[in-house]
Amino acid sequence: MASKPGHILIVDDELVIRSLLSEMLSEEGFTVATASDGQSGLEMMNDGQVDLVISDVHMPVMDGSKLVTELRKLNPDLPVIVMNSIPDRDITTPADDRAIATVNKPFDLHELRSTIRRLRNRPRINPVHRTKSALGRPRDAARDAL
Amino acid sequence: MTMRIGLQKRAITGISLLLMALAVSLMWISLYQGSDQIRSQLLKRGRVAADNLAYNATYPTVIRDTASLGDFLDGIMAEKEVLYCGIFDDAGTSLAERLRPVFMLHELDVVESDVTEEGLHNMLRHTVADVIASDDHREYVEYEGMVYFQVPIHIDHGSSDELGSELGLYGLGGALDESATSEDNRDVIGAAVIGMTTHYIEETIADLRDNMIWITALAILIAMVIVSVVVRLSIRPINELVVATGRVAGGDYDCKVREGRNDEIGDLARSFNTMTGDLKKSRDALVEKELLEALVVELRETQEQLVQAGKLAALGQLAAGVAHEINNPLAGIMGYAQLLTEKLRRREVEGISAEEVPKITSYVENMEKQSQRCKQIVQNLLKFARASSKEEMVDVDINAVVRETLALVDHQLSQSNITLETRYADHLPPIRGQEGKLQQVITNIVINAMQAIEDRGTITVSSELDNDRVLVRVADTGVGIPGENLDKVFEPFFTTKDLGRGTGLGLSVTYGLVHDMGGEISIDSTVGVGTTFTLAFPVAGVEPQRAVPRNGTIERTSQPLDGP
Repeated sequence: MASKPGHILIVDDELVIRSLLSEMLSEEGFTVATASDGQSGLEMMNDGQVDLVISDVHMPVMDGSKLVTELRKLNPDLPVIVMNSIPDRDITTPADDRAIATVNKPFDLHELRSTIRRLRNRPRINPVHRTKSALGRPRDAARDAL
Repeated sequence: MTMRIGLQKRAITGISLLLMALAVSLMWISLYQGSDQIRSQLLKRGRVAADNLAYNATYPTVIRDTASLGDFLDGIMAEKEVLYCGIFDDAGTSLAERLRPVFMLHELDVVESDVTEEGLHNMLRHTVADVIASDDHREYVEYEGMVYFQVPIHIDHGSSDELGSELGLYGLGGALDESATSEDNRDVIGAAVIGMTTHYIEETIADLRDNMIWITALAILIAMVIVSVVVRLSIRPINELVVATGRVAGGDYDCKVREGRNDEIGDLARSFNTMTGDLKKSRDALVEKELLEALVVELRETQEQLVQAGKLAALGQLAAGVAHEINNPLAGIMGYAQLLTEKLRRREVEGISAEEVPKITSYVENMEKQSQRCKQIVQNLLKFARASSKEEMVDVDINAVVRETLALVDHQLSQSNITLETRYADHLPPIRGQEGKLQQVITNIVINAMQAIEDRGTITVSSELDNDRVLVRVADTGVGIPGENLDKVFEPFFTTKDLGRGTGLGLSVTYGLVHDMGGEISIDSTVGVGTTFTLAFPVAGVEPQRAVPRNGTIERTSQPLDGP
C-alpha cells in the first residue's frame, strides 16, 4: 500500500484529550487528525488516509459504539482504540474483533503507546489492506513506521 | 387437700336433710296422735261396754239370776279384745265370769305360747280380785298388757225409787240421770269387770307405724328427686357461667351463655354476655393496635432499608456520572504531567538549569501521583456502579477465601505492630457467594480494623457455623466506635478519619456487597475496647431469611359455647 502507516484519527468531545493525544502522537511522528464527535469522525474517514482510530465512548451526535459499528462497515480490519471513562461499563467489544482494544480513562501514556504498537503489529487478516512488505514482513514494516 | 363440694351437691344435701327432718317429725307426731286415738277408742269402747254391762246386770244381780248374767257376759265376749268379764256381788264374790280359752289366744298370738290356761286365768282372777279389792273406780286400770274396767252395780234410793221399783230396773234411773243423784242415794250391790287386751291396738299401732315409715320414706325419696331436679335446673346456668368464665379467661371472647331465664341468674347471664362483648371489643382494639404497631415498625424498617438502598442506588448513579466527568480532566492532568516528565528527562525543556531538573521532575511526578490517587478514589466510587456484576453465585468455602485474603494483607500487617489471630471452624458447609466480592469484603473489614488500631493490637478472624448460617467475625482491639456512630458506619461518605485518609465508602461498599450475596453484616463495638464485625451468610441451599416482608398475623380462635 502506498500510504504510510502513520495516520491516526482522534475522536473525542473533550478538547483536553484531543490536544493531549495530538501533542503526544505528532511528536512521535504520526499524522494526527481530530474530530469532536462520531459523525464528524466518520466524515473525516472519507477525506483521507486513516490507519488507526482512537475514540471516546460518550460523545454528542454519534457515540463511540455507533462509530465503531460504522467503521466496521467501511473497513473490518481498521485498528480502533476505545477509551472508556467508566471501566467495565461503557462498551463491550466483540471478542473475535482482534482490531479493537480498550483503555480506561485516565490512561497512562505508556499503556496507550503499547496498545497502539500492539494493534499496528498484529497479523493482518484482511486481504484488502495487504501490501507486499506488510504481508511478507509485517513486524519490520511496523518498526519502520514507528 | 380439702374435698371440693359443689354448690349443687350442697344445696341438694341441705334441702334433703331439712325435708327428711320435717318428714320424720311429722311422722312422729302423726304416729303419736294416731296411737293415742287408737288407745282412747279402745278405752272408750271398754268403758261403754262396762257401763252397759253394769247397767244391764243390775236386776239379775239383785235376784242372783246367774244365767242371765252369763248371757250378758257371753255377749260381751263377742268382742275379741275382751279376754275376761265378770259380775261380782258387794262382797266381792263372783256371780258369773267368762274367760277366753288360752288356745284361742295362742292361735291369735295374743299371749306367749308358754302361757298356760291356768296361769293366764289365775293371773286374770288375781288381778281382777286386786281391782275389786282396791275399790278403785277410776276409769280403768292397766296391768300386764291388759286394761281393766270396773263399774259398780248399784241401785238408787230417793226420788227415783218409785219409778225404779215400778220398772224393776233399779239401775236405770241412776244410769239415765246420774248427775241428779248423789252418791249418798246409791247402794252398791256389786261390780262389773271387763278386761281387755291391748295386744290388738298395739298391733294396729305397729301397722300404722310401719305404714307411716314406708309412706314417709317414699315421700322423702320423691322429695329428694324433685329437689335435685329443681336444684340442678336452677344451678345449671351457674355451671354454664363457670365454664364460660373459664373460656373467657382462656381468651375465647366469642363465648356466650343462654340468657332465657327471667330471674337473677338470667340477669347475671345477660351481664356476662355484655361484659364478654365489651372485652372482645377491647381485645380486638388491642390486637388492631398491636398489628398496627407491628406494621409501623415493619414500615419503618422497610423505609430504612429503602433509604439505604436508595442511597446506594443514587450513589451508583452519582459514581458513574462523576467518573465520566472527572476521568477526562484527570486523563488530561495525568497525560500532560507524564509528557512533561518525559520532556524533562529528555532535557527538552528550555530555560531550566541542570540542577533544577530533578527538583522540577519530582514536582511533576507528585502531580502525576496525586492524579493516580484521584483515579483510585473514582474507581472506589465506581464499585457501586457494579451492582450487576457478572460474577456468578457459586458454592464457596469461606475458610479458603478468608485464608487467601489474609495472605494478601499479611505483608501490610507484618509492617505494623498488629498480631493476626485466626480460628477457623472445621468442616464448614459451603455458602453461596462470589469469591471476588467476598475477598473485597474481608479486605475492607480487615483494613478498617488495622486503621482502628492506633499503635499495637490484635485482629482476630474466626469462622463458625450458626444453625443455617456461616458466621465470620473480625474483631479488633482498636479505638472502638461510639454508640451514636454505630448506625452510620455503613452509610456512604460517613467517615471519622481525617479528611483525605478515607472516602467513607469502604464499609458502605462492603455492606452493599454482603447484601448482594444474600448475607448480613452487623457491628458491635465498645469505645476503648474494640470493634467486632460479624458477617453471616446462609449455607448453600438454604433460602436467606430476610426481615421484610413479614406477615403480621395474630391467630384468633372462636368457638361458640355449646349447651350441655
